Amino acid sequence: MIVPYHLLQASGSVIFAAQGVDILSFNTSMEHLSTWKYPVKATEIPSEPAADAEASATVEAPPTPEGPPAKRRRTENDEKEAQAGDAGTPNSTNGQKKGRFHNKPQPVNLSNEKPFINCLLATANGSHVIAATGSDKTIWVFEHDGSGNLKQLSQRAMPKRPCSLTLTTDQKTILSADKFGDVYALPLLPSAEPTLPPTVQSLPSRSATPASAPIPFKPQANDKTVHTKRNLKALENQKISMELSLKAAAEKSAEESQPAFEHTLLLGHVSMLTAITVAPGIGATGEKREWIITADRDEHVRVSRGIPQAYFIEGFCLGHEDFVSRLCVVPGREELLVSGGGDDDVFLWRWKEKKLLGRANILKEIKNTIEPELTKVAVSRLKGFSLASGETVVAVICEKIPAVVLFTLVEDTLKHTATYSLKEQGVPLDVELLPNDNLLVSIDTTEGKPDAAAPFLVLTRNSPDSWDQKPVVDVPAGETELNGEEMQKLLYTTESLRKMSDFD
Amino acid sequence: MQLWPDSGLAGRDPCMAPGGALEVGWRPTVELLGASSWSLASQVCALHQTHTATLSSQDIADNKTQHPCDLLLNESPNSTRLKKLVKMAAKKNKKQKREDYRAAMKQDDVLTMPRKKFYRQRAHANPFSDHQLVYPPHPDQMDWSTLYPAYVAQEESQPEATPSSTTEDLSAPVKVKKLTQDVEVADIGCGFGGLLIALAPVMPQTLVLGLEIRVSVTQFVEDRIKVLRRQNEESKAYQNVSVLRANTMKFLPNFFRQGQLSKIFICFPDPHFKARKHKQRIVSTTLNSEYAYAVRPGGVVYTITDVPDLHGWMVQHFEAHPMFERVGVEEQEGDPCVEIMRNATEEGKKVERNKGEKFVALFRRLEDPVF
Repeated sequence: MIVPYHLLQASGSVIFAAQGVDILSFNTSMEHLSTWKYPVKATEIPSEPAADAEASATVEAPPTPEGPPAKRRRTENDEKEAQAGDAGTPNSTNGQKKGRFHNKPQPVNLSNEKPFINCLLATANGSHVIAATGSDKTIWVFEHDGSGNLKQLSQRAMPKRPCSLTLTTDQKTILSADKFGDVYALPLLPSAEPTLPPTVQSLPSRSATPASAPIPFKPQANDKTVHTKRNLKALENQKISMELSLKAAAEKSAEESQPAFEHTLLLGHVSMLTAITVAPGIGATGEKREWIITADRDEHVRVSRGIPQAYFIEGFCLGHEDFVSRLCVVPGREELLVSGGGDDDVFLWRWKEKKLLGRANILKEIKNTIEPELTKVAVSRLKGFSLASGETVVAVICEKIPAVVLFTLVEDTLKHTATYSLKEQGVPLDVELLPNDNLLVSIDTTEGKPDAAAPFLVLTRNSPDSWDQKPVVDVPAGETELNGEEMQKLLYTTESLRKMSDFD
Repeated sequence: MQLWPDSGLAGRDPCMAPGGALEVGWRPTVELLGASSWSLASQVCALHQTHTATLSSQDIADNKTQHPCDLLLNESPNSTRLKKLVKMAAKKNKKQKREDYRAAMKQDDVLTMPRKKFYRQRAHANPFSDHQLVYPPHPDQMDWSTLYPAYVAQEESQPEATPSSTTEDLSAPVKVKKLTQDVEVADIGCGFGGLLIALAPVMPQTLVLGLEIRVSVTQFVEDRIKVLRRQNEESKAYQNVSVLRANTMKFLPNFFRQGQLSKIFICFPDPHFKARKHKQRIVSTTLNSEYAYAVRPGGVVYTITDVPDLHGWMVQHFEAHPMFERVGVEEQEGDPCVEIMRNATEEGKKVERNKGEKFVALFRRLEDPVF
């Protein structure tokens, strides 16, 4: 199955759409302009006969990312071996323990997981495009010539997988929120100077010991902190082997060292971050300031001050009872924030006062028009658009729901205007505003009717609550092929944020 | 009744005789020993059967006579292993005993202090996993009335008691009983509650809350406070301390509003020696921001540990945080809470017994910077 367009980003009169690992650009009438392809790694090229060795060597290899090597993943062969090993000793002593997990569905083999683009962002003036790819944890920065052509400027591999990206209001710093709960600041354009040691804004990094110098190995416990005979003996052994370990430790620390490019730890949650956004405002001294708003899987929406006081938490917008997956500062009304996730409602906040202004029930709206049997929703896209008429529209897409729910901001409330059913077309993946006030929706056609083939749909508004649709058919088909299960895993990840565990 | 058809035990096992005297727990013991120990095991079983008839069980229980089985076990070359297995078999009842004990503690008239041995739990809990935790979505929705029943505010009659769905109700849709005052002191990772109990009489006008992630340990502190409150019903002591099960690394802002706390205690935290576990440490660059949020300007974070490296880590991280400064030694030693922290906590006592060193550091929350 061909991967649909799963991310949309408008930048002036150019629309960027991510399709698997590639980024395509379109003009406003959805004519294809250009394509950026993820550089094929030399190692991924199938081995060819010796005669071709020279030819394959000249294939342009991508510049190695400035960062740690990719995590070693379990391959299918490993798994088979492991299974064979198990079969040999069916009654191993820990068999019972293992049995607990045998009923679980086998995880999809992601050993060859494609570095899918999971964030796509453009600077306000359209000069640069930023993307993040999942499995290789890399942030890419491209220069945009204004007519859809992208030129890769930098490729930076982060310590952990970025989940959400945003830019500071001056458009010079990228903020990257990762799966580990940390937010890093990176300059949009890395300085040309030679690799800097990781700088941390007036704060020690979490791994407080500087990673550059190999740390002499020293057991952290001492005979005052361990007491049992066995532990004391272990400590003794540890001290004996200290000399031997010294070398290994030095090697290891070199291997695990931080990426060499400039990146600053700003703040962090002890939870997986799902969304980050920056909201402008006026500071106490009357100056223009900005605030960083982050959302995590544990129902929190946190408002922190912007750089250089990102260590200061202004407060939390609390009220969600399930994960938060999307945040959106309302364009034109920057004092307002919309948040959505696993709850039935999307929440409207006045974020500076941490005050909840209202809730809009999306589950009810979808139940009324699309699926009466639905019990839960997971918001996968939440975007606010400022129309030329002065109206502000908030569009919500829920995972695997064939509908786009539209709200209009009326003073301080969200008024439901339309639930646009896409039952005939498929499942919407993303939505973006075209410069002519039309909405562009990208669709996963594999989820819907098989005969529907339009990957895009343009919604034109003819009255406040009714929209006309026009499919866009003539777009280049993608090249990335995935089987259905892999596609599910890569396109529909929001629902998996919901907490399922039931252990103490 | 064939329990182990392969072992050849069935039918020959003296314990299988009607009214066999051995506990059920013995059987796997014999099996686990394998064929080599079979003869010994059967000897034990045979002995057991013959002697149980003659010896009164009361005598054995009172240690007046030693059961011949025990004698045999002591003499055999396999004795340690055998004993271990016998012990393992005896463990079967442990869970039941625990449950019975804790159910008994639930009674309203218990006046004896709970015993730790019925509440033990593995010392580590993963702060990143989704435990089955109960926490309010917002501090305003936290029901403190069950934790501090003596401080529940008298409800003034509310005319608008009827549930209305106005916008004002949005942030607090659940009406909870208010307390006359707020919780001001938190002991993060209170363990078995030694610090809480010692702090209660020192600051009788302040509400102190212990937070602990382990279920059984929390239950122990809960029972301990319950008994103490009952024992001191007249003096109304210990009404100002309580305990809550929570993962503070994730959910501190769900319980406390901005600047609600005046003191946070972090006593003998898990050291997490491995570098890759450092994110699990309770003190870190990013978590200190949350402590700064919950503690009011001028409030103090107290730390104590017996691990020098961890002490260094905590000092380094708090000192580097722009919202905290370290409290001077003189002031530190003048603080009565420091003495309690050193000597009243369970870990503190343990370190004392082992003649270990204790490292204390206090950090004051600074005024909010202008932004």
